[in-house]
Amino acid sequence: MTLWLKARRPAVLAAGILVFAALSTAVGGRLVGLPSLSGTGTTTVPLLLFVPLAVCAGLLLCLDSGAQAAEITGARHIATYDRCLTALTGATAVGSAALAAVLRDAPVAVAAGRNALFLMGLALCVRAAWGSGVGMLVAAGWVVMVTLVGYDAYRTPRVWAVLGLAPGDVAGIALAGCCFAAGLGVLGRSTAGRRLR
Amino acid sequence: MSAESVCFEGCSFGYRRNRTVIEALDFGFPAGRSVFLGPNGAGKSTVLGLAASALQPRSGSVRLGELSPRRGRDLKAYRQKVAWMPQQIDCVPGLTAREQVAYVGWLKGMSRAEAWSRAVDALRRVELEDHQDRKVSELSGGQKRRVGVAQSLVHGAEVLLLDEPTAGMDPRQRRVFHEVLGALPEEVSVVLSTHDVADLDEIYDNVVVLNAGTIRFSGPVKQFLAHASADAAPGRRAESAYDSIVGGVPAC
Amino acid sequence: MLIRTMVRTSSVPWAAGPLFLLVWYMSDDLGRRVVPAYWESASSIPAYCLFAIAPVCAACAAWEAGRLKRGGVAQLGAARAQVMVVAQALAPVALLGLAAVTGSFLTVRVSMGSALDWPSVSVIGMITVVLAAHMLLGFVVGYALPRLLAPALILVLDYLWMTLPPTFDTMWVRHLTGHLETGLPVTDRINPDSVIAPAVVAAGIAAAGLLVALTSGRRRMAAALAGVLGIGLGGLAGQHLVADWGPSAPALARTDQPACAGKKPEICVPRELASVLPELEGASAAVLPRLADAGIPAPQRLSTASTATRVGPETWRVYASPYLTEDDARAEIAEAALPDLPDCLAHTDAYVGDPLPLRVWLLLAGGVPDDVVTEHYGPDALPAMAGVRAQSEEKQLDWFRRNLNLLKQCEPSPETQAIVR
Repeated sequence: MTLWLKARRPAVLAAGILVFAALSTAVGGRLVGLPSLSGTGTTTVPLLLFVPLAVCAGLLLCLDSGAQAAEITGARHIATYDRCLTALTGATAVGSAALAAVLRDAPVAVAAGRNALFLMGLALCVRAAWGSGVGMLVAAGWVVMVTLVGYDAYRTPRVWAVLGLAPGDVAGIALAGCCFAAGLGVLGRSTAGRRLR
Repeated sequence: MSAESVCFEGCSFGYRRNRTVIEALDFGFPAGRSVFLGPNGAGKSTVLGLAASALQPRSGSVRLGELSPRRGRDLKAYRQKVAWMPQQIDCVPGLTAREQVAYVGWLKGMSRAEAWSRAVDALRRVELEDHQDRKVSELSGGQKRRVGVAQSLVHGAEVLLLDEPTAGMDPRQRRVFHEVLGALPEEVSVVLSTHDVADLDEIYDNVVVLNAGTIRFSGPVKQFLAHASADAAPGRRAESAYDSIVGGVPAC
Repeated sequence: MLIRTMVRTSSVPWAAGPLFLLVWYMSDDLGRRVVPAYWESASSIPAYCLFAIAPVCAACAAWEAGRLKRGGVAQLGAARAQVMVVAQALAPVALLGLAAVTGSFLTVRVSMGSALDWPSVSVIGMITVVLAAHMLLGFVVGYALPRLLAPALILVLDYLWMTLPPTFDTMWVRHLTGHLETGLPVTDRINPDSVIAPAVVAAGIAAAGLLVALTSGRRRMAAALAGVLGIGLGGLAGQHLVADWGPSAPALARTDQPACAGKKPEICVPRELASVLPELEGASAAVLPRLADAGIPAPQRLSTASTATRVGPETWRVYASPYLTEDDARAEIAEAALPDLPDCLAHTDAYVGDPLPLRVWLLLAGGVPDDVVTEHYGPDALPAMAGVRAQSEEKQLDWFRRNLNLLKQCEPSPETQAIVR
């Protein structure tokens, strides 16, 4: 298993998590005005919206590293190991975000952990069909799209956008959890042909 | 020993929905050393990928004896018995040659300690022991292919599926490779896709020819060479036989 | 390679749909709000849309660089110059940017309804340089970083570079991105430095990107260092132009001839507002004599002048818009009697009086109907002025002059209480 872990380049994943944690702490609850298509022309969003992309990138780079041909014909359940690694990454992201919220006294930072779960799940689902490059682009594009159309004219976040919802919003937590679970479920599917497991 | 190694029963496969590469293939690779020939784009890599369970057939099944990778309980055992060396050898960033071969051994179900020691042995057999601590990404193209061969030897599979293993190897290394094949136990079947048809009868037992997703010929080397034209030069009989089979004469 | 093939095999078809939709929506929405026919103001809209166009082009360029890297094109021993290889790879992306910007201009033109001249050439030039810079930067990032990371990273960083600076306390940064403000008044022209500064910065980035893209091997490090120097120089030069600017570019008055009508007073407006001259003439004929009766002599000239222009004592600054009604025109003429006041709040937090009661008095003295006054200044306007209006004409004039003097000196003026709208 140490060879599997080494093949996954854990340093890359750790770097992604560290950047996420550092940015969450540095940015805190800072709000910025960005262009919006909803009525007012601008909307105020937490800068934290962009931060989960770091851990998303680290995870995808990590999962892409390995001997694909040997792993898809291997006798071991590599997909299970990858799922455990991904789940651990999600838990670490949530924990880092909570810690950042405490350190910066910015409760909104907790949402960064939930958003990381959502974006990782989204990226993994897209990755299963079109590869990691497209998965990462879709995740980044989703964040940009949320700033443009994810808030209504009264600067209230829309539910489907997930990222802008308050940290304790039940719908947001549920959607993020479902998306992450879906991403875990499709993990192990390869874009190079189809495989049995 | 069974007369056949990996068998295909009504297998169809396509990478895209409207384009089929293999249609209703009913065929079994003969046991022993088989060379797998065919024009570019015939589907050889696809057939090997199906046999390795890297690809899932759209219909039909693949079997090794009683084991079928389609059945969940057989999958692990099937994969432990089958080794696959694809055309492109993955270089796992940061791993040395020994680590990468040991990793593949571990993937095939070996314990870490066993995979580690068998990796050294496999690299020695392909004359890469002096490079075992070098990163795979730093090796030459031919050396990488030898790492790929070592990966397929490490876990002692019953069936080796090798896709163009000698591409990029120098003549001496090709000889070493053929010696490695020759040293394998009788029970191990080898299916080797190649474009190098020199010395067919000295190295291989059987020839399988694929064209446009269909098996055109499968049988002993002598039967294959019998398809050569009468005026073919002694050193070109294999080429002549290949031309006449691929040219449209169906296999018996 | 045929341009059709280049476009078809690139990432551009995937990006084009969403980008064009976004640009069309924004251009149409903003285009309806500009003064019709005034291209100088409308030209800032495609520049405003750069916040979307530039990052998408940069991401596509990064994707194309990744394709070249994956295909090992650099190792193929091309006989063509490296610049041609890069140009061919980026041609579809350049087309995407060109199409998006052209689409924006066309949409704005349709939304405006009419146009007296042509889009600002300086703005078009600036847009071109900025887009080229973002493309080249994206290309270099795409070559340097893994394909998984590069397009997403440059998309986000580019987007933040274009949109975050207006939120900074350091004002000059926002004037370097090329993401121009919209809403330029019809009396003003685009400040050249607001176009030159981002173009200079972008040129530095484009030069750096080109240097790095066209070199390989050991020379690439030297090229990267030279590129950093180029970016620094471009940044310094751009910053120097806008260093002491505030949140908006300093206003610059137009220099072209206005459209004028009438004598004593002569009424002058920008050419695009010539259609409202009859309304203004009629309003001045109705309002100015009444103001003269109240003790406010008529001016020699009424002018819709830029705030950057100082007007003489015989000229009143009047506001005009293309949608001026007769009542609006009367109200604007009456209010124009109030001269320019100093920006007292720039120097103190203390109460410095409110000119609104004086405006309301001018409207009433000029004979503007009560309902128009209420519409402009709310239901409290008339009751607040009841006490003043009950006095004699002499006392009212005295009240007006006294409070005007206080406001000019930024003195606290209890008589000019704020009227709640």
